[in-house]
Amino acid sequence: MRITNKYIADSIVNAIRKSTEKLADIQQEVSTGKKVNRLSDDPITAGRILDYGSILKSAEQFQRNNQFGLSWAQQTESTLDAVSVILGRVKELAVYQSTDTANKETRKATANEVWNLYNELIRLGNAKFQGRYIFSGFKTDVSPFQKQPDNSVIYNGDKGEFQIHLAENETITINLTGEEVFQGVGLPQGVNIFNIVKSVAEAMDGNDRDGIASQIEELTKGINQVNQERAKIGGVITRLENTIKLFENYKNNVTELLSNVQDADMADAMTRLATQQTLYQASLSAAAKIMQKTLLDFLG
Amino acid sequence: MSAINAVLHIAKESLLAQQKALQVTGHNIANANTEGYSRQRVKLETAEPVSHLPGQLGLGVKVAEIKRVVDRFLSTQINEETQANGRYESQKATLEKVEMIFYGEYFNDLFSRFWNAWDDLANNPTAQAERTTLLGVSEEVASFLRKAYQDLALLQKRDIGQGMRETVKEINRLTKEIAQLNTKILAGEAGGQNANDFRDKRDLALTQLAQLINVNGFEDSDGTLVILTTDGKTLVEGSSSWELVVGADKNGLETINWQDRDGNLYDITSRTTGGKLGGWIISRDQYIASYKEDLNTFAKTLMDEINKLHRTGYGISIDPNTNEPYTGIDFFTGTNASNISVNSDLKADPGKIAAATAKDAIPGDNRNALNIGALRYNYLLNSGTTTFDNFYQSLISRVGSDVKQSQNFYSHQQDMLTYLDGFRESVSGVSIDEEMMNLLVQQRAYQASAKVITTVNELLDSLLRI
Repeated sequence: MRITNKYIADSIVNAIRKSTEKLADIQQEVSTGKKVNRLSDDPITAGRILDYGSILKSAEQFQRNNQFGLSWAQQTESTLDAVSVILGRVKELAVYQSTDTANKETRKATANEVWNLYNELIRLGNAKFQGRYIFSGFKTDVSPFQKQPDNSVIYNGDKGEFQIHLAENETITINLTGEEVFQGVGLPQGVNIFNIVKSVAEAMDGNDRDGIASQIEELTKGINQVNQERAKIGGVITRLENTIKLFENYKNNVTELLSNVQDADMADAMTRLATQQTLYQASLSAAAKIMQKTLLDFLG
Repeated sequence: MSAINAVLHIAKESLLAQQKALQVTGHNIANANTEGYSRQRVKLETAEPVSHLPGQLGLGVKVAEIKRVVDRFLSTQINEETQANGRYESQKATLEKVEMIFYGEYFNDLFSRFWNAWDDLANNPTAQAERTTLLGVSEEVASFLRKAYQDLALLQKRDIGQGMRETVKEINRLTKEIAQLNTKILAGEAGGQNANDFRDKRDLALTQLAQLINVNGFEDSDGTLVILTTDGKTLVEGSSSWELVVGADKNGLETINWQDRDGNLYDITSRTTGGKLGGWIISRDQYIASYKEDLNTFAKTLMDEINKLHRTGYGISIDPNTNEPYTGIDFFTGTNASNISVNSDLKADPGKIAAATAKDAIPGDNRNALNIGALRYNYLLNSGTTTFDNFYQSLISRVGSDVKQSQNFYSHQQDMLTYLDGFRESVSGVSIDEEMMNLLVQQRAYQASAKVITTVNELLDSLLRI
């Protein structure tokens, strides 16, 4: 092939240009620490990076939902624990006051304590979480239980089931309604705990030994009812805790996948950088040598 | 003819021929770096000999022709590749700008935050803060979509439109120049010589034209160049050229028209597929148009699906006219990506955001917010096969691979042209070394011819002294 001076010059300029481009690419990869710096660097990977990003963001949201649900359910659980303790105490008092060792005075005195426990029970029924009543269904701004002049209690809430997004396309109900827990509405053989405790207190006030005795069986039913509800919410808690752990692992995995596709292999990138630099210098020094001479230099 | 005078004549002709050759060598060296220049060669041949006894006697040298060294087939190939090169050059430059619009993970993060805000609202439907956050992030989503759409429209109208106008001006200048060169070549070659330099200039102009638009060029029998568009409309014939005119379509976008002598316009926009002009038109009418369409589909589906649910739900604010919670309100307003916006009603009173499904279940009812939040995972696009996230991601990937493809094609064309230019340079380029050799050879021949004259002179001297 016939080679002219312009041809040589053009080739050298071309080679140096390409070399510089490659150098700039690797330099960008090294300085950002990322393999893909533009969509066009690797469109498929760029899409995958976005995909992993979305997955991580939604996993974070599910974590937040589940943490919220967990706190709500734990609040419910501890409230039910307290209800259970109160009912146990009432039963204990009822058993004692239904014996012959008790008398009108002891019953009168105990009645006071039971009325206090009754009020405490209503207070627990009106428990709140972050300013919202947890037992009033969707009516979170209304205290679910209200004591009437005749000491009975009415329910102001509704049957609303409060759900959260547990995971993709999955929801979980995190609330128990007050009418179910405390009044047994919708439960097979459900009992009204308020009515039972109220009857106990009234029977004690009236020194009605048989009346007290007749409620002991009911109190047992009430305690069982609360324990069953507690088990229900316990199930929710377990599910939420497991999901949180699951998402924790999932997030770690996705983060690792993301890092695999996104982060530059530094050792590899540095090696390529060094190689490219050597090539660049080689083409520069070759250029300097070739461009020096023409026949002109040797003619007198 | 007397022999001794014949020798003088031969020497004189030789001096003139060598001088011409030297001039051509000088011309070559002077134009070693001139773009489009083809090296020229002097073709020397023997002069017509005379018959003589005992045999023919040569009468020296004469310059037969001065011709440029070109490979015509190579020029045709270079022009074809140049058209493709021009196309991918402007396509690549345009799509790289599109890539900037969709660059980064901003929208992806934003869009996640948008859905998350619905879940946060579902977790706490009574709170004001969650509602305000949701409105803020929703407006950000809407404004991103609007901006992306407007940026694309601007790219079509402003960047590409301007490029097209300037290119058409340049094309008209080049066709005029080629027509003028046709005239000069016709005149120059009338006497049978080669119009080398004009032909070089015309070749260069044709290559420059090929960089701008796809055309067909061929040489007529009289040596003039005819240039046709791919529609067969004549741009140059003989000493005449026809102009291209920029018009506007119904969307106000530039069209390319060929104008005949009566002023009638023929739209050749869709047939313009090569050169920079072709690259712009293809980027504008195929690539960018489809991205805009995708953005519209995305925005429209988002609006429709969310509004459909939102209209059926209830807010926590009470409508004084009905004494019931607000309902039947759209969340987004607008018709497509160009004008999507959050309903200003909601911005005035975030309590109107319908997180509840039943009017008597407020404020704790979060079912509508839950349902809207769940739209994220529903297959609502591409006839029920794609989620919003996937739709956007595939748009992004498509932009990326379109850019990458243009870059690859462009760099391939560049390599191809470099290779062909190298070939051309190898055939037609000026080699300084070679010209120096020619210079030496021609100088020696000139000196030797002069020596012949001196020698003849001495011969005549001795003759006269007899």
